[in-house]
Amino acid sequence: MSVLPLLLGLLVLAYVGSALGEGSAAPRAPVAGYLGLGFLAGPHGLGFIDALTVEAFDPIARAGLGWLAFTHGVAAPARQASRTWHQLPISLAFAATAAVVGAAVSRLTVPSSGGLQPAALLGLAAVGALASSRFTDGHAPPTRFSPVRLGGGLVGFALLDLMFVVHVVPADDGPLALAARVAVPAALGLALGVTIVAARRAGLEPIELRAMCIGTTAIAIATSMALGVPAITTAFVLGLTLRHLAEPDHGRDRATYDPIVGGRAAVVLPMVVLAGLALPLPDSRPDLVLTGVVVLALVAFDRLLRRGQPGRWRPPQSEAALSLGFAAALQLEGEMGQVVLLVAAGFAVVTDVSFERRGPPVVVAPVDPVAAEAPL
Amino acid sequence: VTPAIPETSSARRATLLQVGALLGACLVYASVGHIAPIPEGPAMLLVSVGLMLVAGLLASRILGTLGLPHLTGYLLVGAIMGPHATGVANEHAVEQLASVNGMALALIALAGGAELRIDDVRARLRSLAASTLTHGTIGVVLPAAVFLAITPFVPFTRDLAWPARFALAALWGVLAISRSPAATLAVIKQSGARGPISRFVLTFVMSSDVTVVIAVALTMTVARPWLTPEGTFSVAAMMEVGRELVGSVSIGTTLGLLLGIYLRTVGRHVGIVLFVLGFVAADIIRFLHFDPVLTFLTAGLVITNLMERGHELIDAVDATGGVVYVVFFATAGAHLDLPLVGQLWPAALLLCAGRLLATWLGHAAGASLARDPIPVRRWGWTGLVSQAGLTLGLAVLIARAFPSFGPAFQSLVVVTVAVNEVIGPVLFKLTLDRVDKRIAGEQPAASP
Repeated sequence: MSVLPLLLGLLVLAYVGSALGEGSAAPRAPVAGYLGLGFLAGPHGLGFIDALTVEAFDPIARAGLGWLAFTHGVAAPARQASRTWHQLPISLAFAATAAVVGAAVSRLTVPSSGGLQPAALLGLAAVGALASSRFTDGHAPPTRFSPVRLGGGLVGFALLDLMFVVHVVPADDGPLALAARVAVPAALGLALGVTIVAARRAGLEPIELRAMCIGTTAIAIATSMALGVPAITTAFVLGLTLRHLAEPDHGRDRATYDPIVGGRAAVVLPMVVLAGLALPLPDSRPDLVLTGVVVLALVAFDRLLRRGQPGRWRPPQSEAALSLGFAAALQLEGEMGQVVLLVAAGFAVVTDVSFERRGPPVVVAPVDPVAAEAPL
Repeated sequence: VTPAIPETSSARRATLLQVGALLGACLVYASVGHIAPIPEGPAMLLVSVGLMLVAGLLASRILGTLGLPHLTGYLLVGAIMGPHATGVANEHAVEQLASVNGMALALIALAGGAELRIDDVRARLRSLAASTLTHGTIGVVLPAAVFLAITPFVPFTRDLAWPARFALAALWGVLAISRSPAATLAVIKQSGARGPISRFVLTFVMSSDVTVVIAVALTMTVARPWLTPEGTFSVAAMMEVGRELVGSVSIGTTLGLLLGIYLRTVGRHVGIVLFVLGFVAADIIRFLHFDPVLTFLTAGLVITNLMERGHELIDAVDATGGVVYVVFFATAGAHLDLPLVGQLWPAALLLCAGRLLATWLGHAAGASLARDPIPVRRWGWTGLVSQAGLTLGLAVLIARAFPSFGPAFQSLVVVTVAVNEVIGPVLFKLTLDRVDKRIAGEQPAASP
């Protein structure tokens, strides 16, 4: 059996499991459940799926992450841009917390190693940035996209891209090569974006538009791979271009938005199961300590900021953080990748379970009609 | 009143934008390919899927302005991209994309079954029975005879022994009575016709799917001893086919009931469920030696007639199929062995002409026997010319079952399907626009 049916089979199991648990008294934690199932089936669990098969999921993971970046671009309407910018410091603070605590703990636990490498720290920071998406600005209903969620995504994807660049570009290539690796994917995304905008303006049906977006994103990812540049920027700029050039009214009719972002779950859930498959058990005490401390630091920071916002918290975007963690684990060989994935998984499980125990959040502020336009 | 000129100008602008977008995508791909060739592996697979979707969709819309069906655009793009032409999608990538076939076939069969209402079948039982009988005889024998007549001139059949040629001709004859549920539905939806011709064609095409699937399975079993050196025919083989057919119907019924319960009670993520069914369930059904097409056809039938959730299923299939069909048809086009097509086109034209004649004769005989209304008798055959996904899917099954000549046989099927898919919808749409809609307008209270 090839890898795709295998993944889909796991998804069915996870879906059936979550449906069966719906009536039970036990707290439901969907992300943790999907992650746990992947872990159990994977090489570090019961071993139904071996490590080689997990590696074969690489193209699916790349395509999934590219699609998530694309939907993030599409979900960033200009009307909310200023509010998104205001929330960036929160996301950056989460990213910095994860990176600084990770660096400090790694230096303390294994002094001889010199601590985590810059690429791994950037990976941790990316996961930390997405942890910030737990907060809302009090205007958006909790089940919908908010500027913070966008801000966390922007910072997270940017940091992951930077991690790829730092990890891939040889140190002696100099700043020009580094700049080219950021500029080229942006230009590629823009060029493909203009193409899809032309097709959109020619009056594609919603189903055709979705197919067109999937196709263009696949081309964006493949051409980025060929050029050796990060695909996330290409896909993100592609989405951004589509949303901003295709609809001068910035999505009020939602004709571009809905058919594309509506199917996010179909990509996110497989990514979470894949992250579970690749999830290792910490094989050394320093790794365990590092994971535990970074997760605790993120949770503590989360609680600290939330003290001033009673009732305004929201489900964390742990599935996106996990996707990033999985992508980082695929890129960063060995221990570095493992640590990033463990932190992403640890944070996802803790916040997921805690959210489910607390029940649905309460909205205290009136719903902003502009923010309400953009559903998750 | 909207003047005609702005409409024309707007359509022209849309076409120009589509051409521009198509050229833009090709330019980006060519520029990147010039700087750094796309590496083998995941990148090649992704770029193949991406270009098939983008170029297929745009080409189908551009060709649509000329009155050609979308399928032609997908096939054309696939053929241009395929390993036998430009090689943008190499053989390895095309092989990997073959996993989409199962998914597409499952969706086509599910939608086909879901469109078949038992009440409609009951209301037109005499007409359907007569047409099935005449198409099952004239519609099979005449194309098979044409195939047999040209075997000395076709490269992959000329060295076969005569019994093998007879067996292959029988397979061709059975394939000739397969139609395109997707094309039929698309043309009826597009024209908005609700007259007697559209209702007859829809019911007949959907019900004949079941007959064709069973007939192909039976013919493959009977023909196998003459087509493969190790193949033998025995009563046990026939019993195996019986087991396969009964098992497929049983599994399809169970699947239909489960899917119907899911649609009734949960109703969410139907697209994902169909995706899983297409990839996982189709693989398991094939592993158990059951027929996936018949299984999903039965499931669709059960969902519409027993669970009354047909519309929800069809909507979900439409949404999921939007992507899957493009890749499926483009992959079929990529399989097109163009050098072989260069040799086969005279044969393909003869075979198409033979099938057209057989369709007309078979329909005329059946409609006269059943005393159908005159418009159905005269023009009903135009709706039975289209061939598409089901035929291509059955050809894939035949190619898998007989690897020695299967791919060449499949190429011949693809060429004839391409011709039938071009002329079929055009003929049917003309009939619906000029005859069926007029009759429906004259008889607004026509019985369903």
